[in-house]
Amino acid sequence: MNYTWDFSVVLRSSDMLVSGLVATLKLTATTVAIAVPLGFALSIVLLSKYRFPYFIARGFVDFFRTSALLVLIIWFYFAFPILTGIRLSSFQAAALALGLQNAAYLAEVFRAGISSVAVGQWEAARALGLHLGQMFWLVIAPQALRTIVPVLVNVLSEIVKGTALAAGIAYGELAYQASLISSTTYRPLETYTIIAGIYFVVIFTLNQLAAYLERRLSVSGGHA
Amino acid sequence: MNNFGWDFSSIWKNAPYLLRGFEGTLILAAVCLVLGTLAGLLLGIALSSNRKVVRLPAQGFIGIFRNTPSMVQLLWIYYALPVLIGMQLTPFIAAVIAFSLYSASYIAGIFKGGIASISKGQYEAARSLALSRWQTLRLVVLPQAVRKMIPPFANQAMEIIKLTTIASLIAYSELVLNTKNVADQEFRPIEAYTTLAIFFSLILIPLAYLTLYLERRFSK
Repeated sequence: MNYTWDFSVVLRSSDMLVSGLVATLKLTATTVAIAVPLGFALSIVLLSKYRFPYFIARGFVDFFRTSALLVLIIWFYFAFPILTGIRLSSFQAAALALGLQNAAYLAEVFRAGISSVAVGQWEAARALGLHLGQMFWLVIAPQALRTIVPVLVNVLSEIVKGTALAAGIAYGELAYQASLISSTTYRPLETYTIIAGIYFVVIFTLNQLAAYLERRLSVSGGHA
Repeated sequence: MNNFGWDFSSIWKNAPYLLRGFEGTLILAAVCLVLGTLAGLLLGIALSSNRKVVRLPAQGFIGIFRNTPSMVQLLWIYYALPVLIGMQLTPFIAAVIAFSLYSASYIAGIFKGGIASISKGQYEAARSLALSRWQTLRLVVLPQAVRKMIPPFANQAMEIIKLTTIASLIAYSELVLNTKNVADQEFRPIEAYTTLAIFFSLILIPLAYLTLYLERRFSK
């Protein structure tokens, strides 16, 4: 095949690429803002001894963890507004779907991280006369973060990947801008290659950071 | 809260069409699982190789597929690849290529981990029995590694089922696309999409618990 690559046509639409990247990052940040606090709250309920809240949280986590992200996005965009009378923009629907699903993932991450801290640490904290809040924030959380932080960055890279599905409901992030650019320039090869390259740079950087943090924070490697 | 009256009759009426969509989902998932496993096995063996010439291309391939969204890979293969090869692909073929390769990049890690988990003594024993390198892998290493690989593998199978939903965006007829058609045609998006979401959960939640069970069983 003698295909002549020509990136200049696509690069003329660089403003669309930039606005797509900004939209992708905005959706990622909003997702994090929903998923981290909610995931933390859920993990506390999962660790608690109260049966009824536990089953609610378990059901929530199981449902959202096993759902296909695209199905959730579509449900929040097309079904949720009719059911509740609350109209959602494509950005809001995608942010809700991504936020709730990742809250479910993070609930498990936080739960595992908190339970990875040895029981003796709780006992020692209690012996020092700390109350529950102090025990958690001063003793347990700093140690749990060692295992949680690398996974958190990993989840962040998965969120960036997930935002591409918002193109399915026409939210103007990178993948959606790509479809617009390729239909006006008739250069799908160059367009999708550039888009894939931009995603690669963002996601690869995050994954490298996660790997670095994992090495740096691992209990055996770091100065404990 | 609106006074919305649920009415699932439109779903029952279109049940055969929806089930055909589910069939499309299962066929795509099954083909991708088989091809992804084969490609993942080759990649996993390449990753475990001592020779750089073998290892580096495999690492590069995996790096590309793990660090871009599967959705963008699908769009690239469906819209961009035909320009290079001068041949239009059907949505099914494009989805098979995209999802098989994406899964292979993760399954490779499972095989690599499984192979690495076998102790050195096993290799030495195989060697003292005069087994060739390939025989060692096939007769000694893989049978033992498979036990450890079953739980992450079951997990990957679930991920593949979720992945197939993305193929609806290039109009491959699977459960999501057929549900969307029913929703549009019957003006009943709530019932259609709610059924879709619950249907997926009914399949995937038991699978998730099965994975958990296998994990406990095989970790002994």
